[in-house]
Amino acid sequence: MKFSPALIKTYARMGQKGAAAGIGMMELAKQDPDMRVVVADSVAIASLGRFYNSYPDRVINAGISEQSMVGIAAGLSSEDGRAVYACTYAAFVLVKAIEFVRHNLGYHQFNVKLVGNSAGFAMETLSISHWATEDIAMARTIPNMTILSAADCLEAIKCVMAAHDISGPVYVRLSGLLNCPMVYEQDFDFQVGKANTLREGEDVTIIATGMMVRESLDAAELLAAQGINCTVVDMHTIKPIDTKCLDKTFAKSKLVVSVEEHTIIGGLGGAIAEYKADKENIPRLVRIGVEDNFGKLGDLRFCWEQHGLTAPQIAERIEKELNNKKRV
Amino acid sequence: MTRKILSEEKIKALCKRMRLHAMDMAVAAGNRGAHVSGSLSCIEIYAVLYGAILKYDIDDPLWKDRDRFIAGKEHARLAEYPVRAEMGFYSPDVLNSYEQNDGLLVGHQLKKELGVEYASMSLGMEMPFVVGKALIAKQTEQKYHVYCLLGDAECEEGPVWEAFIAAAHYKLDNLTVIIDRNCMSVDGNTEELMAQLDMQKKMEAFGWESTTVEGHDIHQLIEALNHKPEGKPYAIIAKTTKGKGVSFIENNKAWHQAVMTEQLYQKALEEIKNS
Repeated sequence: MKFSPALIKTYARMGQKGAAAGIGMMELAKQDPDMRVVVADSVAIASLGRFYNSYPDRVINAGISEQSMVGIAAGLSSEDGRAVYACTYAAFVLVKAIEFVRHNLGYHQFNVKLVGNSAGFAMETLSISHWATEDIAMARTIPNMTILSAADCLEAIKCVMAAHDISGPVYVRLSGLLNCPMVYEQDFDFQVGKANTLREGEDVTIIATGMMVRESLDAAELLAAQGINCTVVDMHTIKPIDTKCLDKTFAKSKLVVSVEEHTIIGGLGGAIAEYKADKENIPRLVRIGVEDNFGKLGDLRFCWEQHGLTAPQIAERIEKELNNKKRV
Repeated sequence: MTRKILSEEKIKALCKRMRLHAMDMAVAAGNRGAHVSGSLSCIEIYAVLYGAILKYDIDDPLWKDRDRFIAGKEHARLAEYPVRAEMGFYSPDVLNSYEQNDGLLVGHQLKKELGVEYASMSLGMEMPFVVGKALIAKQTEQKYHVYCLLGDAECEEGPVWEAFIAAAHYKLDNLTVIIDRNCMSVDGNTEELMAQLDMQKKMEAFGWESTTVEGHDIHQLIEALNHKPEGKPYAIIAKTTKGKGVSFIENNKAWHQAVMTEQLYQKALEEIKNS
């Protein structure tokens, strides 16, 4: 599929889940009549209204039972390896159903694609039960999982479509709200496992994922005004992580910063730290994310502020860490 | 070539051989112990399924129209593995390697060529999977029937009931579930620990057709399993005795998982042979 700048702008209004389901999965359904979608009373929640109206027989509702939803998805795929998408909030498709995910996707490797929407703090005041700030860490520990995390609506479309090309289990993490800020204003090349460098600068490398890519680009702009030049990387594939990109990053930066709308334990920052642990003579890593607490409840930006995840806060933190000479 | 349907007499003899294999496997499991009593309660169920009900071709284990049997009740491998050995999926000698490191029959592994359609392992894992399997079989108009064996205490797991609701909702009349109602779990009697009460009524209330049979009565099991209701999934509640066939194991919770010593092994063999 090719995407014009005008279309990309239109998709941005749909939010990541709206674009993923309304554009990406609709296209997949045209290409692959065998594909099935399982929901847990989540046609509306996963923006699958248009999909359901077009292909009612290909959508299976498991009821509000996410564990069963993942098991049913595995069963549907088990005979011929057809792709089955299971779609609902990230907090439920993964966190609630984790044993069914480990067993059916991790161990048995059925061709099931979990599409978790509203990850991070996007569920706002519905709060902790509906947030997903541990999902990447949980998915990462499971063998055979591929984890994709979309930075904007266009990338969300590309993630759900790329998931179909992978023969095996995938977790697609979608986040943000309607009117999702754009990272990619033009069509771009999306390859699973290959990070996109969006901006080049010699001082600091910011490796971000999901909604934090846009915030990191804005932070880099603020830092540039102070003479601090940042490279910004969109790490859309968290597993398998792009180690070539990490090697390049470690070789050239004074400071490496990871930014994620997720706990700093076991997510993107954790993955980079684990990879870094085996290396010598490499720059310091600062992990920006949720620091092992739940924080106060509020709207998306308020929640980000609680964890230092807005562009000005990211810029301020980077400046401070650069000035912390003892540790750099 | 599909397999022959065994007579009730032959199935009885098969059950005896399966119980003897189960004792050998319990010995093979060594000091870690084996799940003995939960296996003995479903010997007749397994024997009837493989001897008279399931369609399969031993020369072509992946035959596309074979019935799909999914084993829940994870602690019943001492019944599941012997019946497949007896039916020719693998040599009975293989049973001696049970629970040996990296062995063919260690734990429970998805091996369709050996008749294992799904390794459920964790209790409650199989029922949603079975619903997906039966549903796609209907959507793609497959000829096979889907069977699943559950333990009664296993039905304390929530996802089992989530899937029961879905099976009725999708009118999965290509699905038969057998519940081994041995009224025991690890800690003792289910009706004292977490009462399941009348499981047939429960299944009926969930929109299934259901019946209750004596689970060690081969004739009753065959009749119940040959029944295929229309428009509804079907649950057979098989009343059984945990540890059936060996006096010191019957209804003895210590034998849920236990070590088979040489002395007890000889005693068990004697009882089974003389039964």
